[in-house]
Amino acid sequence: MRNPPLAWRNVAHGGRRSIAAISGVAFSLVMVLLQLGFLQAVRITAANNFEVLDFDVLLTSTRFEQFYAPGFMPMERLRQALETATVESASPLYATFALWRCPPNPLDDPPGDSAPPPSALARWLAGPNSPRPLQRRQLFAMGFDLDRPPFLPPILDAIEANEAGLRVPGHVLLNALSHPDFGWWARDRFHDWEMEKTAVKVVGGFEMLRGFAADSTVLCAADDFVRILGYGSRETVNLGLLKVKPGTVDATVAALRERLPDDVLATSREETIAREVDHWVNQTSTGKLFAIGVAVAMAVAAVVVYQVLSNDVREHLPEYATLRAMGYSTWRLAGVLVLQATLYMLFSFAVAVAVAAAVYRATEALAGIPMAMTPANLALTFALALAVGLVSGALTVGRLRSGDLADLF
Amino acid sequence: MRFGGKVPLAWKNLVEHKPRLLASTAGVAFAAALMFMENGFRQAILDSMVDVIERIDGQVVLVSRTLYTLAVPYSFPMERVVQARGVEGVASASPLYTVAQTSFWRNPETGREQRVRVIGYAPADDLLDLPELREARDLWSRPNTVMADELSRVARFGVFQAGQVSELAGKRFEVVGTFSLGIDIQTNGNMVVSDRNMMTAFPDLDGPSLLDRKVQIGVIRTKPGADPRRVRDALAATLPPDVRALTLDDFAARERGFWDKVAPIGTVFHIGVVMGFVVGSVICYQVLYSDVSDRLPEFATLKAIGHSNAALYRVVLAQALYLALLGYAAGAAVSYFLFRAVHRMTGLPMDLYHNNPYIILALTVLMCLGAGAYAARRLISADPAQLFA
Repeated sequence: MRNPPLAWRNVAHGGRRSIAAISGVAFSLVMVLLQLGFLQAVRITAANNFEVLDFDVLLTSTRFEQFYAPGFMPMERLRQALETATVESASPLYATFALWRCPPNPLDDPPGDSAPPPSALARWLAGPNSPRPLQRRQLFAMGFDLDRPPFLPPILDAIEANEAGLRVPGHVLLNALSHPDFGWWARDRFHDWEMEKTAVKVVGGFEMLRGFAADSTVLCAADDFVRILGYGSRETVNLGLLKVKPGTVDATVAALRERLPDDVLATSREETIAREVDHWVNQTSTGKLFAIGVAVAMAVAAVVVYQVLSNDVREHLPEYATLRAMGYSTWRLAGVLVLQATLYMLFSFAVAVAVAAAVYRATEALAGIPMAMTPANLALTFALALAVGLVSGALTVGRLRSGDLADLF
Repeated sequence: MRFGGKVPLAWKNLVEHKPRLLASTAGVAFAAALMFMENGFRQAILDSMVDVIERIDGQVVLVSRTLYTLAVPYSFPMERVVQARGVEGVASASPLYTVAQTSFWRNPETGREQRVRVIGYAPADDLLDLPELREARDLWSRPNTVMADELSRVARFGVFQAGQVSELAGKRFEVVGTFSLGIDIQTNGNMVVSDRNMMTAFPDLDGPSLLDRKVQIGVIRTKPGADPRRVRDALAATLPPDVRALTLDDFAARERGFWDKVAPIGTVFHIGVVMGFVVGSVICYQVLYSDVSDRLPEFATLKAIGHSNAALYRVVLAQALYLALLGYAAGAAVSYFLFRAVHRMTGLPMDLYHNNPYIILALTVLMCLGAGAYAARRLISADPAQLFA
């Protein structure tokens, strides 16, 4: 064979050396994917709260900070917004943190409430069976008009399936993806639910991601909400969700900014979600820490890739010298090196994705945050690996050119 | 052969090639820095969450039985604080008020209202151990005045200075001075006001009588010589069960426990430390494995002249140990600057010395020795005869 696939054979027949190189690069790429996953989790949970809501334009108080601290505004602003020709409907959303009575475990013989909490790992190993005292914890409660629930499926489907139940005062829906402490698992056996100082009944569930800010969510009818959370009347709302005629979002936002008093802000759906993500990623310490984590992990991965490839080249140097002596040009050898670096990166990346998938699942189970491997993050990681791999490969070409290959013997 | 005889060999192996020594040290240093970083993030979050608690000048506290984190303050009636004054061992009991979720300061420059954590207590009680607050006591005793935290997020509040006039909870207040406390992952800024001003700004906390006021923390100073734990037990036995008595250390430990174990954020950084260790081990293995491979002829020669496998093993392990120490030193130096940068970017307290440096050292040494032991397995199979074939 005139052109033996040298690069391939170096990798495939390298034995333990190849395995060491591939695992080294793979683990550092897992670290990068993990840090990117954390940052992505911040984005996902930030965007998700608005993504489950059915609206084109959002009205908020000027005090609006982020979804969990929305501020208050008068219902009157929604009526005023309806006077704009392009606005088709306006639904209020009442939303605030509320105290929830979390069932103990075991239900009949809970431990005392002075013991320290079990670690995440211990809780994960014990599943919902880990013992915990009766306690009150904060969850995020949302109230809405039952005749026009401002949610998108699948939450809308869950609401419609339980509509009759929700019309009874004191009946609520609990997030099925809540932190286990909030007791979704005990819904059939526990009956003494309380929200703030009112006894409630969990008549069903819905599925909504939980994030860094709220461990659980509850949905209830607006009348219940204002009664239980002490809002006084339905006239004070937290968010105004507007549906507009198709294609008129920008015009409506401009018209609302013109017409409404300056105690409210109008933003489009895209703008709202972008602002929320920006807040959590760029303006909170949590987002910044994860962003720095991504940068540090990438630096480490670059160092590891360079180490691995330069080690590999050094080990193969006598072979390259032999090839050179046989008449291979420097550029041809460089091609082999670069191809070999690419092969290493491809294998390492495949291994890294498989390992990262497992680490992602473990993180979801342990920390309860949504971890998703997005195409953008995969592409970014692969591009990083490939770029550093190629640069490292190319740097070592210099050694081949230096001409003192004879020294190697 | 004596162990001491091997030390120079291990050291010389390590430092023979200067560029390679640099690359090896850099690899281990990055691994150490990664662990420092992840652990530092976690500690920074925990430290920031208990910063206020650690500044409380008292030995025992009363909190609502419901309270599970100070970021979600719950109240109990002032009556409990008054009752505590009669318990044995208690020298003084004073109320501390805090509002975290529903308090807003209007940024005078932008006109926008920003959420701020407000802490209130009687200036004469001197409940927070912050010298600036103690010195300016007369200033902020006056009606409608606040002290502002100069470490509050500038992007939200601007720079606080004495003389600024704006609104707290919709009422006119004047900033009369600043202090240094620091922010956390739940709060972007802090203000301290007198108990009277607290009632002006947040009338919800007030009640029909003093005994009905809603207190968030009851700060108790014990009599000289009294054991805080016994005072805590006496309080628990005397007071109704709607409040919980905790020593200040227990209170801080509970708060840390919540953020470390229950909230997702602590778990996430734990996973980061574990991954840093795994990646570091892989880097060390790479470095030592390639070094052992390169020196195989030399090791085989040593073997041929009668050195035992165990002796060669020790050389590699000694080399791993030196590498760990060098890498750790470089990693700590890198982390020092990284920590300062992160502190500037996030405002969180990033303290290298407070960040379990010895645990990171132990992990670095463990990871290098483990990787070295694994890499040195190759020596066992090295047949001197083959190498010269």
